[in-house]
Amino acid sequence: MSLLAGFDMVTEFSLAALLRLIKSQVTLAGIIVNAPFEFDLTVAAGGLDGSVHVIVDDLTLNLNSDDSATLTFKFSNSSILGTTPALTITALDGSFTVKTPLGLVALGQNLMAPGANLGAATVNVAFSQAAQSKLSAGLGGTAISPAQFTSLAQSALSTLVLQQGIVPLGKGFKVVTGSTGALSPLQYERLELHCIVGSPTSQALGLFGILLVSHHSHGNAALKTAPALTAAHDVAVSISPDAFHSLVFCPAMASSLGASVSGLPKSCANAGELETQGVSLTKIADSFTSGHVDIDGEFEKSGFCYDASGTFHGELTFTVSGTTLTPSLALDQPEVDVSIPWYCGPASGFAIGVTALVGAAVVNAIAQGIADDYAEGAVDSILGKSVPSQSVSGITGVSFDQAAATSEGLTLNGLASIPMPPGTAKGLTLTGSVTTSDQSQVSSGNYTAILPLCPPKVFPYTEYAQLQTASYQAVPRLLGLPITLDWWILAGDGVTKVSLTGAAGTIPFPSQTFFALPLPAGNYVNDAMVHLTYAKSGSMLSLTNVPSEGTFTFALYAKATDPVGNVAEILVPGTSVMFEGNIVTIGGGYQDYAAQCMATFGKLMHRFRPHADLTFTPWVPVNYPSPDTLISYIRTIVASGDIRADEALAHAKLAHGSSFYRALFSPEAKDVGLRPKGISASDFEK
Amino acid sequence: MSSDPIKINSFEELIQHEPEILARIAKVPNGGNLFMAHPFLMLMDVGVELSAATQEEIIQLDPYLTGLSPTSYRALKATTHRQLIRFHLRGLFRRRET
Repeated sequence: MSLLAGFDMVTEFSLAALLRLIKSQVTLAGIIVNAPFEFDLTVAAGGLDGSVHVIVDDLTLNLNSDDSATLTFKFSNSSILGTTPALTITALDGSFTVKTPLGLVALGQNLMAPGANLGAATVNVAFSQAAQSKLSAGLGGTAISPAQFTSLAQSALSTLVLQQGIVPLGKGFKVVTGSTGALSPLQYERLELHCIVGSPTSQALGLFGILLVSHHSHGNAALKTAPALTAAHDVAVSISPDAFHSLVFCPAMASSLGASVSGLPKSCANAGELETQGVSLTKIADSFTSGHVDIDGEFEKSGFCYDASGTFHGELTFTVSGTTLTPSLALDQPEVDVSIPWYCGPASGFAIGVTALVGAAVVNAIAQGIADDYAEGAVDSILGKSVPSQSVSGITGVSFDQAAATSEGLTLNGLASIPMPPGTAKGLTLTGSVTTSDQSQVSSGNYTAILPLCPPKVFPYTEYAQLQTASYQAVPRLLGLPITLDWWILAGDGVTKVSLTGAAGTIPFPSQTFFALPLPAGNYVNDAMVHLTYAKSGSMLSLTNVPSEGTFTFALYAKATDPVGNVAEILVPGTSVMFEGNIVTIGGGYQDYAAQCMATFGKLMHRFRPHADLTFTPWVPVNYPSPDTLISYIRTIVASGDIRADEALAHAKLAHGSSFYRALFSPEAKDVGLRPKGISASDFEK
Repeated sequence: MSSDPIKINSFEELIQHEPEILARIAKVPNGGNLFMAHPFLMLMDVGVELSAATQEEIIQLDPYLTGLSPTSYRALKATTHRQLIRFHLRGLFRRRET
């Protein structure tokens, strides 16, 4: 097995990493394929008009030696909902496969990304034996056979898949043909994508790159018959000795020795020799072997009474942690041959001096020239400020934890961080709102507002009765269709549960109700009986109030049961619904006047707050504030114990209207113990 | 190459036989290093028999050669390891100033 198959750099992505990449970037019918997921398939052909609701439980990936990928989607609890002919077939299971060619996609000038050509994919649908029996039974009496339906479904699914076209996986690699590339930032001279299929359990997607322009015609991916990826790793990056030599070793040597690459001796260039630290470097070479990179060199040094020449040898090993690759150079003592002429003689002191001089000079030159800067150079070149694969394929970071050198090159293994979209779980959501269908005036007049710290002022007001309708839809997640829905409400007292049975009806239930007048605080009635008229249509529910029964709130709940008995329901505290049957609008600039007075009052209360560290909200501007903000304000007023607290609260309610009620009856209010009996300060728990 | 003893009775004779003696030293493992450590013991080991007068004459030319110790010489001779620093001799001793 060849590590690099003649290429300069091979980057391998594990099946697991590739699958995560697909699950985070590929969509089907607009739905990201992060299983489990569900989608609807419209089938309108061959005499059948309807839809297929498909729940995909699992997605697996297999790479093929013809440079394609086979995605297998396993589905269950899926349903056929036909309108023509009218039929419902549920609890179908099976799988469908999508076999898609893989290749490089041009994203722009000199930018290539791995991609799946779904536009050329082949799709195959297979129902389980049990599902085929259900199809036979369900389609009995129609003109469609199970085989025909399977063919229709396959055709519809195929259309859906083919529509996706070419799907690039990531942002791409820079490829500039005819120019020597670089490791950091990564730039290829040539790039190929191939599947590396060693066995069914040993597969990887490989990016086979040429970096050196002189290697343009090198490489035969077929020679790489197994991944270099080691167990439990996502990414492996292998670099050839040649690429390492040209793009890492020689530039690092040149940089550390203060020379240009062309000024280096062999094997980096042909400059003959390079003077450094009093030593003439005549050769410097790197060669990969098992476990390390051999660093070898030759040098010469001459001085009074001696001519010395020597060789040195070192072993470069790598340790890696996270994104930090640390090379470590173990340099042997250089071997030196010293030639002594007759005129110097064998004085022992002189001999020791020569030894020290030559030895020290060489060690200094090599150690400083190679070890420190080389290490840094190697890190910068291989990983740099960014891992080569960082900008690619949606992988935002690779943390390497394994480095291995062999005679074929250097391989780093690491884990990839691939941001995944949030998963989906079985559940039920209610979506909807309350709208006013009719509004009628009840009364009008003038109101003298007496706001804290402000003179009394008269404002016109109008009281209205509102007919409102709440429309909510139950939206199931990962439940088979059709679902059976049970609806109920929990009255504002938190105790009274009333089921909404049948297709339509009217339910009475006790509730605390609020009325806008008398101003400013209005009035309330405990345990008043209110009535809601309801109607169901499919997954929709509409509720209508009786305006004269005032303003009240309750929680709406639903429970969905699918054909195989899966249940999902709205959890406590339910979906809060508020009907405002009775409201008042106040004109004459009351909002601005109230805001000004209340802000002044708030500043005063803040100045004299009981505790210096009290979180204090002096006033909340009237502009649909969040319940949290208003709750904070209400708590401030209540906690102040000020004799004008009731007055302040009443005007806050009048100024904020619906927002005030929404805050009072919000789950957030309940969380902090705010559950008023009324709307004066003493009605609140402090 | 002959391993016969070479009798040296004067510095001039020594210079006359210098090429052969250098060749004998080069053949000895770590020969150059042994010569640098203790030239007289090395000469003896390669079969050179220096007269006392010749030895005195050499020391007069290079007074540093009086302080030689046989210890490091014997240690070096006892090892078969190739030394990292290897001396190669192109001459034996300093000549008289002419």
